[in-house]
Amino acid sequence: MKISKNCFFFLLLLPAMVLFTVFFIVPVGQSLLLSLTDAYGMGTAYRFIGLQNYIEALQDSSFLQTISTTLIFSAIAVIFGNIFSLILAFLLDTKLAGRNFLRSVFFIPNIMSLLIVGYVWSFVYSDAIPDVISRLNLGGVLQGSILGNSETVILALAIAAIWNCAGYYMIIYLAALQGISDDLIEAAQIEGAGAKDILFRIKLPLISPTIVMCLILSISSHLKVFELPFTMTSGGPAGSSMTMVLKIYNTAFGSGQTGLATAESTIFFVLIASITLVLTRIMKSREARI
Amino acid sequence: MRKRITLFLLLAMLVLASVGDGVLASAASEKKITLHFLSLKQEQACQGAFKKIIEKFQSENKNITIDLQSMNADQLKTTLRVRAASNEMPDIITWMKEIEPKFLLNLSGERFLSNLNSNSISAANAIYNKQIYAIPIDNGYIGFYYNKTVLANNGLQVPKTLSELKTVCETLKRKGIPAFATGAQDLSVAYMPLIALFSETVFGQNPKWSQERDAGKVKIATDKKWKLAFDLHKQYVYGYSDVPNSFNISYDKANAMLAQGKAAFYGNGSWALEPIRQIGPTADIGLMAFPISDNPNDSKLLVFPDTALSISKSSKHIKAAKKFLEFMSSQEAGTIWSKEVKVSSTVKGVNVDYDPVSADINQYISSGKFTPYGDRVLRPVFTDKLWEDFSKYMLDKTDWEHFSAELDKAWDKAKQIEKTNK
Repeated sequence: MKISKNCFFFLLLLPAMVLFTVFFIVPVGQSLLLSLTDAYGMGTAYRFIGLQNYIEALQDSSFLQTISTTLIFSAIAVIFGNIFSLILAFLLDTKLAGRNFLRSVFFIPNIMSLLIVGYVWSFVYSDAIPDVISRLNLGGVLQGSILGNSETVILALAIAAIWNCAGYYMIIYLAALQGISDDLIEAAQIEGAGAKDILFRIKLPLISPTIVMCLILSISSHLKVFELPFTMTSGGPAGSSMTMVLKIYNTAFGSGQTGLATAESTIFFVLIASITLVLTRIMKSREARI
Repeated sequence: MRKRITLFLLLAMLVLASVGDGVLASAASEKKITLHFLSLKQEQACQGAFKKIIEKFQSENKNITIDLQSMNADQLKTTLRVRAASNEMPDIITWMKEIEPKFLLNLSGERFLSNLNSNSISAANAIYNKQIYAIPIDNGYIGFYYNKTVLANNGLQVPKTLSELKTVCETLKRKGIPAFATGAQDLSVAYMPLIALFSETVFGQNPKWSQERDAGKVKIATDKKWKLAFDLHKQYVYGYSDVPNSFNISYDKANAMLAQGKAAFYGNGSWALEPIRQIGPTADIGLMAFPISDNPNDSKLLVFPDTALSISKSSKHIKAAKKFLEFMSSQEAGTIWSKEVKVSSTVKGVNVDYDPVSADINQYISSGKFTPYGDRVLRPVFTDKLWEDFSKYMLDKTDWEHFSAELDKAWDKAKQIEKTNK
């Protein structure tokens, strides 16, 4: 009886499992195999070369540099992006006039493709800002190009990324804030809690599971950044905004080294999975303490 | 009588059968064919020219329809890779060096090749060891456009030597005019002049440099000519440009800078002429090779077959595809292409005066002061590394020792990959 019941559940799961295997497990397995070959260009015949691609990728200083570039970009975009989204959510959680309109306004950048966002911000940095600087005669003080300076380019890309996704995380934070019972806030106020206490001792601890979720979502999303450096800088100046995915793209489609590119993407996958896993553990333990 | 009737009927049946066969055969030959054509020519002028040529071809070949799709180089490479894997290659492709010859049809010996300039055919197929896979339809160039009005207004003449160029650049710098319209927002704007420079300093002086490098006789790291190309690029093309704003200058802006007289020189290829002319239709523009020394004879213009067409080996309509290529090699198609795209045609007898700069190009060609070897004869793995790293040297983020060692490493790797993939 139990076996037939299990069979029934297995049959229910079977279509999903087949689809998952065909469209996820098999391609992942194939790409792992491809990373161990000398696959190149349009050719379909490969030779097994062991871990040579992995060794080459890890010995390539330009690839290693993309790891640090991606981490710096992600750190800026995740930290400041989430702070900014939280601030927006807190603002819209008040009785601010026109808050429904503002909610839509803040969310609009998120429905735009990142490629469009890249072109828009490229125009802002390369045309609009220099134009304003020249009209205000600030040329002497603020010289040079924002995207052409290796010290400002990552920050510039991060600002574009934050602009794009702040509205999305704002909506999630706002939903969490609106889920806090008004009774709880009123009780705290009766007990003499000020605005600061309500914010730091009640609201933030109560939405901490949402913060953890948003942090994890934004980390994995920003680590995969491709469109912004692709459209705004092509990885420049001198490779200082070359992110991991852009580098993988160039290796695969620029020089056609498919095997090497697949090895690079496997390294990238391991990195992103490790970071997400470690952060989830840390956040969950902190959340439990709270 | 019966015999006669039988004989008549037999004859009638034979006649009807043969007529029927003919009709069927003709119907079969008139069977509708669609040729899939993937092109990397995205420029408006190129798309317009292809459209006109295809319309003419289709009006003469009613049973053939050409489905043209244009995309950028990266998209084309990706699409071709997927199609090759699924054995669904398009019938006709604009040639790219990344397409391995095993996917292309060898067109050696085709009659229509005699319609084209033989030197262009040889140069377009330089990497194929005397086989013909690419049918060149135009000659491109990468050189330095100059705005004659800017030079004249500042009392300057077109520089013929490096010393003269230095004087011109310094004079313009003192007057606050960037000598070169060099942009880095689109990396290709900074990269194109570099191709012109190393084709002059390296391949212009020694056309067999690649073979010597493969044989291990020379190296980039120890070759002063390679260093000269990168140094001229850094010191002049970038150094005398609007350096603080170079990363705000896109391809379109660089074209506009030359056309509007906001810079004196602009290093780019034949494809830039049409957008330059859109902004400055009457701008007084010339074209020159970069003066690489104080000997004017060392300057050579990079002239090479640019747009070329290939037929996929696995095409199911090879005969129809060859027919289209034959039409492309006709004077009618050559004239349309040359007029619309503003380039010189490889078709014999087509001499379209498409722009005043054509006189400058012809002068370089007729005096033999040109080289056909640019980056197209170099392997993709090497050119990819060059593309990735050249701006590091240009911006002083690396030194020659490290940079050249990386390039040599990439050369060896590219050679190795080619060897294992043969």
